[in-house]
Amino acid sequence: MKDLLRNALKSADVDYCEIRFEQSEFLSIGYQGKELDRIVRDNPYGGNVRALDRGGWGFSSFNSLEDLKEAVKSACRQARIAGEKQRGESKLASAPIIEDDYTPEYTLDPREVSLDQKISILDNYRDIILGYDPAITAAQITYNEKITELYFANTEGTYIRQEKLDIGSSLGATARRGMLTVSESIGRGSSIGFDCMLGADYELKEACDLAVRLLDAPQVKAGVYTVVCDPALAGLFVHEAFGHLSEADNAYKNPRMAETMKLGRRLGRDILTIYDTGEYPQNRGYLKYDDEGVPTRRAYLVKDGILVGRLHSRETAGIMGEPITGNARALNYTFPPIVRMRNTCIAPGEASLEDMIKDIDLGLYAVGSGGGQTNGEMFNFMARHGFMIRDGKIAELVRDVKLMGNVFTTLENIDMIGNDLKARDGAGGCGKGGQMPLPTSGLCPSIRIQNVIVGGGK
Amino acid sequence: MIGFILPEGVQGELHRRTYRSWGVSFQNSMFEGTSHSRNDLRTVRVIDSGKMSTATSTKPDCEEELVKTALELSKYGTVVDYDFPGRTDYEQIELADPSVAEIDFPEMIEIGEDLVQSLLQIDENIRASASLGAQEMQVNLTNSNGFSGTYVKTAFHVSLGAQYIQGQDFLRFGESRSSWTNDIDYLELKKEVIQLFEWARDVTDIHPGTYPVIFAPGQVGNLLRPFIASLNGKAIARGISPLENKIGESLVDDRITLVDDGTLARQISSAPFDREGIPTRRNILIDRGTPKDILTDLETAKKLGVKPSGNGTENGPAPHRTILVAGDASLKSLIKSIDQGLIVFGTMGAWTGNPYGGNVSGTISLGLKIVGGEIAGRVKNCMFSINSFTHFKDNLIDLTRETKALGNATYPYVALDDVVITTG
Repeated sequence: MKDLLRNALKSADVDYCEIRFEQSEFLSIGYQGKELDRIVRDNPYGGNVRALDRGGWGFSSFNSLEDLKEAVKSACRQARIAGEKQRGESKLASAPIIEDDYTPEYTLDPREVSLDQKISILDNYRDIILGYDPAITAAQITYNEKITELYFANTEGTYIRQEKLDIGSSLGATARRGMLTVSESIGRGSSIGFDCMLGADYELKEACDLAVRLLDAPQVKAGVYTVVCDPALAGLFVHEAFGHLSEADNAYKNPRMAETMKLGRRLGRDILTIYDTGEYPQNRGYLKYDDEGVPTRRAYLVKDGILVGRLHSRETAGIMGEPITGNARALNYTFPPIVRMRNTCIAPGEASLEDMIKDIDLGLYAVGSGGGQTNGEMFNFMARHGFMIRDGKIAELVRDVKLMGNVFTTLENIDMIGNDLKARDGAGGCGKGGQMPLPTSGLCPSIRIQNVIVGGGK
Repeated sequence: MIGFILPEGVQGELHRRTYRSWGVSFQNSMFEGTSHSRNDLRTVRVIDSGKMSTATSTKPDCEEELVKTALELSKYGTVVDYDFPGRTDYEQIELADPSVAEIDFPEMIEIGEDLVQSLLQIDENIRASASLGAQEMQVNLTNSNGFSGTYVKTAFHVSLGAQYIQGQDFLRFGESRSSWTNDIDYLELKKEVIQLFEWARDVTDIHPGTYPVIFAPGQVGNLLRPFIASLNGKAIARGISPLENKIGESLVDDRITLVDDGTLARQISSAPFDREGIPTRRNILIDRGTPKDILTDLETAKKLGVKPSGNGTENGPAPHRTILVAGDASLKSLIKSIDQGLIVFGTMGAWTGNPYGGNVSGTISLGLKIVGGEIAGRVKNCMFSINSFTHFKDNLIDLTRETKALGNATYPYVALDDVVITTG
């Protein structure tokens, strides 16, 4: 493969050219209702060529290696058309020239677990869900496992073969009474082992219990509350509220955004430190090299409340004159890499959950990650459920908890950070530029935020 | 005919989708680059001893390998008690325009530059983005029971949007259009985006409370999600749909008629047959306020004892094109009729959450305040909340006669009363 890719690159008559080629084995197992609903094996197979000339990009994807030379020609031709229009300069931050063949150290290689064993484990979870309470009418289980062999070569001499594993899973219960249907679930995920799928019985029973109790829980009352987010929701919060805004493709050709997000400005209190990293192989955002062949590194975004960095591709780093971070990622071979998060984390603080709650007269303890969205300034994120906080104590369960905020006030309003660091993994992923779901995760503690807008009933 | 040999007693199906797409993009008011993609995806499904499994790949000439994989998986497969359809007559629909293949990069770049310039002429501090993309797709479906079908589609997509930053205020706005051919009205697209910017440029405030709210067509899908999800055969078969026992009973205001239609010619959402070979049809999901048809595939139709509705996909039943039948009001008159309220063009997170409970809420990312029947500026930092089941029953003000064709839906503006607005 090395010779094939390097030979193909020889014909690239542009400023820069790269080839990615992948062959993946994807297994998806789903249960909906009472039975196994879906079992699919997929073998995505294909590659792409990306070329840069005078600041303009060309991209061409293909399925057969026989079409590689034609794809190089097509991407270079496109880049020259784009470069002719731009009449600019190709500015890629310099990156080390790498030659590597990398396979993760698996804790439990899913290929060593037979399909019989996997089905048996998932059947057990299905039985736990359906046997928990008659009010539970359906199990919803998703297990996705993808093993990718990814080749990368560029005209600068880098050649990498890396193997990647992504396991994402959700185990959920749906309960119904009359017109009211509610659900609750837990997530699992890993980049190094199937063992993430083991030992979920206790947590799953807790989720089933919550699903049943949610049938009697009221919708949260709309208002403005002090909100304590558990680690999973804090992970979603930092991803939506700040992670996307720190992606440098927002700012690299946008002077007003660059000014608003000028490094050195204060965004939060001294207790707040946020970073994004390719570390933590137990989580879905683990990455050794990004899709430009750049080694990933921990990128501090906020340190002690001050904006200190952002997430970069080689182009955004080159244009902004900032260090590369290894954040250029593509969903698969049909897409070019764009700036994306990996594991986005909040550094732990010292507060216990009890500390955070004890002085709140009326507030909300929001639990679990249920999806979110941002437009840069404002964001929306959903908890799986919540508990009202009354007179410093956890009170009644509430459902349909959606929260919103404005990044510039909400980060300032984080006034306590917990000591209970946990990861947020599950079956979903991040979406941007039509590339979804990309595996991301994060390690976060509980956080307390003042004045959060909560949607809900009257 | 199916192209591979199966063991005796095993049913097989081969689905092949090949496409070519190409496009250009502009970001931050600048031309960014071009792209060209080809993909050839084959999927084999087998039913062996009443169990179904699926294997899929983009590897060239992979059919035999897929059959082998699917057969290996089948002992774990989904228990099914239906057969793949046999020879079926279906009507061809006009879905492809050969002239789409002639749209080349220079033409796309020229249109994109014009779109971007139209916004910069309004305010040079706008950071405009635009994308244009064309696609040709061919679908082939054959099975061992005699079904054989093929169709070709073309599509052309254009989007124009922008970001306008003033300090810590980020205004994002935009519109997109899709068509089966290159007949997009760029002038109208530009006018609409510029109008949004002019309406939204100035920020105003709103107090928390309940208000009449007009939802623009692009937001109506979020409001209808509880109905569409609950009238899906899979939700009914799984016992999680709250509308399971409401078919034929009056549910919402009788001005609501919601249709799914996969048979419309010259629509990118149409197809002569679904993913399983069942001819598409027009399904009346809600007929003047009363739930009527449900969306089914082979599996759910069998379970529910009904005929499949032609809505089979890789992931269960799904609509082709949802159409909310228009009303009589004009948008202008609807705005005029509101003393204090909102018109919402953009939301975030309204698609999250459990659709079966009916509650829909989200952050208003582009909402305009209406005061005394006039647009009075953009509101920020607020959320809306409704329950679709009750609001479409008790709080429907009106539907406009103006509709907008979105990618896979056609909706009017919908005005609802008593919408909860929460703000900080």
